[in-house]
Amino acid sequence: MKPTESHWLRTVPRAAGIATLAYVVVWLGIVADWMWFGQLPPAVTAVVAALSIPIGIGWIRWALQPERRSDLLLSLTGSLIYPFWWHALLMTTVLLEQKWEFWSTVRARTAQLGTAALFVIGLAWMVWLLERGSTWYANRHGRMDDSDADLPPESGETPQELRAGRLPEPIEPHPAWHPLNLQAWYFNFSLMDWLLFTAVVVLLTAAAFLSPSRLALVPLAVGAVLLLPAAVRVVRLLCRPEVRQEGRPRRKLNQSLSGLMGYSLSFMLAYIVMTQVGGCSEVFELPAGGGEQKQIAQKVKIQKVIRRKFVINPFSAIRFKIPPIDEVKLQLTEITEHAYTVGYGQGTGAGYAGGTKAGKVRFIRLEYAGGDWDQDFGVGADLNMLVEYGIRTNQSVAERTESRRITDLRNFDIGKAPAFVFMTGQKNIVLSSREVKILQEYLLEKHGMIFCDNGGSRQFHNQFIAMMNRVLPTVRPVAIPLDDVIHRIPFPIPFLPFVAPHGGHEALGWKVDGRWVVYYHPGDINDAWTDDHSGVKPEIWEACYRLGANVMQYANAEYSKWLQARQQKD
Amino acid sequence: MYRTERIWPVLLVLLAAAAAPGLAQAERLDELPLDRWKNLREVERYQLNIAEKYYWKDKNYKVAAAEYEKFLTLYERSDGAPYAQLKWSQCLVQLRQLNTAIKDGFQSVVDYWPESPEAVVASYFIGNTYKEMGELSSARRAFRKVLEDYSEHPVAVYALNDLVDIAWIENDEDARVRYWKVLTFDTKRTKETEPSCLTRARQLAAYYFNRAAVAEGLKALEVTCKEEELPRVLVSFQYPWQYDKDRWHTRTGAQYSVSMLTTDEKTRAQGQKLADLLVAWLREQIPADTSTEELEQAVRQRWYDIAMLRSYALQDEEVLKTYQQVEKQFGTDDELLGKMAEWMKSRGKYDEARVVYRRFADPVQGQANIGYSYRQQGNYAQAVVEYRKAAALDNENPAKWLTEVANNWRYANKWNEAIATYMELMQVDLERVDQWRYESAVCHQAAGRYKEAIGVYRQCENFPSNYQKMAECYRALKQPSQAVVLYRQIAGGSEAHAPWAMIQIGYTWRDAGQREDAINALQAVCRKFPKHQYGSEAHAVLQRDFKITVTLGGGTDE
Repeated sequence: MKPTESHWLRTVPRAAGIATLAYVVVWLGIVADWMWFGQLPPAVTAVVAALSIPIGIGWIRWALQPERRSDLLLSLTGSLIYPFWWHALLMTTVLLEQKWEFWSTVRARTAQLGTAALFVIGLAWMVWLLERGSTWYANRHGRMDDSDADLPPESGETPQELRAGRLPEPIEPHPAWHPLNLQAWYFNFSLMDWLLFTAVVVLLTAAAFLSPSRLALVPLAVGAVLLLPAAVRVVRLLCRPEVRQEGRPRRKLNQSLSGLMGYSLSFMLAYIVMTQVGGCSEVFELPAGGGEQKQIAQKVKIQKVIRRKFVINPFSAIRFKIPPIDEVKLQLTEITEHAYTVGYGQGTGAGYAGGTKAGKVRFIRLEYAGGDWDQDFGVGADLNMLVEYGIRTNQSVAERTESRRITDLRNFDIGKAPAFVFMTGQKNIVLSSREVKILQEYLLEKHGMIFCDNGGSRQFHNQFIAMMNRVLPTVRPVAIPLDDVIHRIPFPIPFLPFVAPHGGHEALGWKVDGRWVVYYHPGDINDAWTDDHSGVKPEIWEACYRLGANVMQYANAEYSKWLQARQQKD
Repeated sequence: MYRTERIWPVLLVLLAAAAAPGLAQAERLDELPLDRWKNLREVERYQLNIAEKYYWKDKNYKVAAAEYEKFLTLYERSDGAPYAQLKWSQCLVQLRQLNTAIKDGFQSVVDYWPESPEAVVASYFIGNTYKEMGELSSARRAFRKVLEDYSEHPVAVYALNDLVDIAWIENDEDARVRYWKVLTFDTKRTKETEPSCLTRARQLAAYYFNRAAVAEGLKALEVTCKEEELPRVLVSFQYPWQYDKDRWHTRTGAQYSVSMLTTDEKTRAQGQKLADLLVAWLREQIPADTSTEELEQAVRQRWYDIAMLRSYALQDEEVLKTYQQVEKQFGTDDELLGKMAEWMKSRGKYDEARVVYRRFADPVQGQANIGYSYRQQGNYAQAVVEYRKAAALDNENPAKWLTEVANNWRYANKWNEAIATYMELMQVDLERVDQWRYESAVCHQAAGRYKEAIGVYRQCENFPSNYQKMAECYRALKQPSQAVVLYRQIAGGSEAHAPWAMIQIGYTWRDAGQREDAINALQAVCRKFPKHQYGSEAHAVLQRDFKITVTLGGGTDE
């Protein structure tokens, strides 16, 4: 005999159950912190998450014991353990990506695939519960569903005949509403109704996401057109009972479809709430210190190299050309002298007056849809630039580079937003209206800056220009002069270096109130920062590092100025 | 108060401009007038000539800047010194050192030679350079200073013109209209200022027409032409209106405003009202006297313009009535019939249009139009039949119609028929035999007969086009080596096509699965043409298709 549900529930060890419950509460706390608050270090979160592995193994072993072994119990145990183990795996990748950038991609994939698996597991349980619930309801109310083999004998027809819909069902005076009741009025829809309803839901959801863009009007309009016949049908069903009995639609199928639809929407809603609803704000702070906004002095060091004196035997059989005595080789070395600290404002050490002791220069890459935002991401390119910036400016820099979605920029409060974000790619850039607004807010209200690099195509150039036309419609891009501050400080750059001129030969800028809010490099500067420098000449990649440092320093200095101005104003 | 403050310098400009007729003599702002040139000493002229050569002819701005600087060092007190300083600044602008150009260049002209003509020009260039840098508020300040300080000079008009641009960028419609009005109504036209004033007057007219304000629009347009030309100008004036992707898009005539308003359901009534008002005004302009051929043609043109406006306003009945009016007044001719048929086609009435074409006095043209109408509908076989009829009617120009026949076969992807037609053309049109041979080879290639195509291409003489096509055929035949040989010949024989040919070698090896050869070829493109678009393309392909990061390119904008 198979053990019943109540049977195995009674065998749950009390102490282990309480301990697991306590662990679950702690785990929920760390998940909330990880997702929204970010107060605990990832290592602590990972350790707590890892505890779920022995706990989970213990429960699986318990479920596998012969006296209570059942597929249902095993499935339930596995399903309950899944989120914990998934989280543990995710935290492992988070820890690993701090060491090796490659794990960023693995982390992203784990998150995506894990979400998909969670959806499938939930769906399986939804189907099972619906089936069981429907049967329970039918038994309780003495009514069989149209898939039940044991149809009532008094009907005089075989179950197959009933299923085939030959017999009319009794007309109910009032419509049934219970979702487990197959006779509920809303299961009387045809497949076409379902398709219409699904289309409407999908289109309205799309409209909600695109709102308030003009594009939202398209799904809204189509949705409205599709909604009309569905609405008419619903009204007819509610008003005229006889209409509810027209034909014999597949009620069981409709119930399953409703379940699927309801579950999918709920899952989607929960996903949106979990991922989009911001928790505590993120914080970006510049390193404290000070410095001057001027060029680093170039110093030419001259070293006399006195040639060696030769003592020559004039009678030697070997001929030797004696160099003139006064020939002295001059060894000229151009070095960069740090005559002052790189930064802005009054303070000790290289940094910014608007910064804090804990602050660091960070290199944050922007994630966007439609293209390859992660081209040359992290170790081997971005990180090289960040490290070089630290070496060249003596400023405190972060240990690793990061990435954020455009929507994440909203989590940074005014005055605590990144001084700049970097973006690159060679494909398309797809932005929703909401993302456009977030970028506008970031650039104009949070005083941020976009440092964009064309990673490989004219198409990306056009995409970026089109994107900026949406973000800053009243600002036209201009070619940034070579003698602009951004090209002179701290390193003078007499020419614009590039790896490949994908978007022309001129750096473009968008200027608002005398400040560059966007610096666009047309020629794959990011490729010059890679470990192999894409094989370009040393003077080119050196200039690319300098240019990168200049743009970063410009963004940080402008941000610091603004912070100080705000402080004075307050 | 604020408005008055902004307007008075503008008015001063215009009054002063009227009192400065001599200024119109200068050809360009940044050229030294002849009368001052002749005052220079021989040595000064010699040095300036060297600098000018590098600036104007060689466009080597680095060297030119050095030569202008040399002039300034040697002849600081010369009459040409402010000019040399101005040109030095312009060299820096070309070298994209705009900040230096303003601070050390243009500003120095203003400070050291305030009385010189160059000081006026430099003041304007300060604003212009700020505008180029995206410093719009600084630019606006500089332009307003020009209006205040040098109101008598044409640069004041240029400054106003730039202020319109700035207002456009900043989407400040009030300011735009204000400056437009000044440039349209209050500015004296000179040779230098005429183009700017005309453009702005047309934009002002368009602005009013877009709001269905016909009287104001006509008033603005009146200043751009003679009175008798106004009816024609109303439907033919061109003006830049929309800035997109680094260039201005031009619109034509008041009909654009009618069309814009009528297309939108919400403003359709306003658009049709605008059309009614414009038509009413045009009707008033129709001369009663049609005694001469010219006058008759003018009257006809008015009616055609009215029909066009009605058509844009989607007032089809009125269009038909207008054409009937012309027919009644002047009788039928091909011009009228052609316009009627074109309008019918625009409404999808192709059969009716063809009936009208059949009424043409010139049967050849009528037949050709019928053929073209079938082509527009995608009925290529029938189009060929009609063009053949045209060819039969027009014995003097068989090549013209046979070309149309061949084109139709090509549109219909009927390659054999197209080739046969080109064979006919080779016999009929002996002067362009090579062209028809090439076209027939293109048809062979399109039909997938690559060997035949190569054979025909070999007989052609339009290098490197025929070699390019032959290489394409060899690639289609999976003979990459042959294609590469041809690409190398193109690279060697045509310098302009060398980057293209070399990257094609890379693509050929890539498609043939020869990875190493492809990488070498693409790296060679990056190395040899680092600043060329194909260098950029090769770099991207190496990274995308071969995951090769060492592309060996890299360069600077110098």
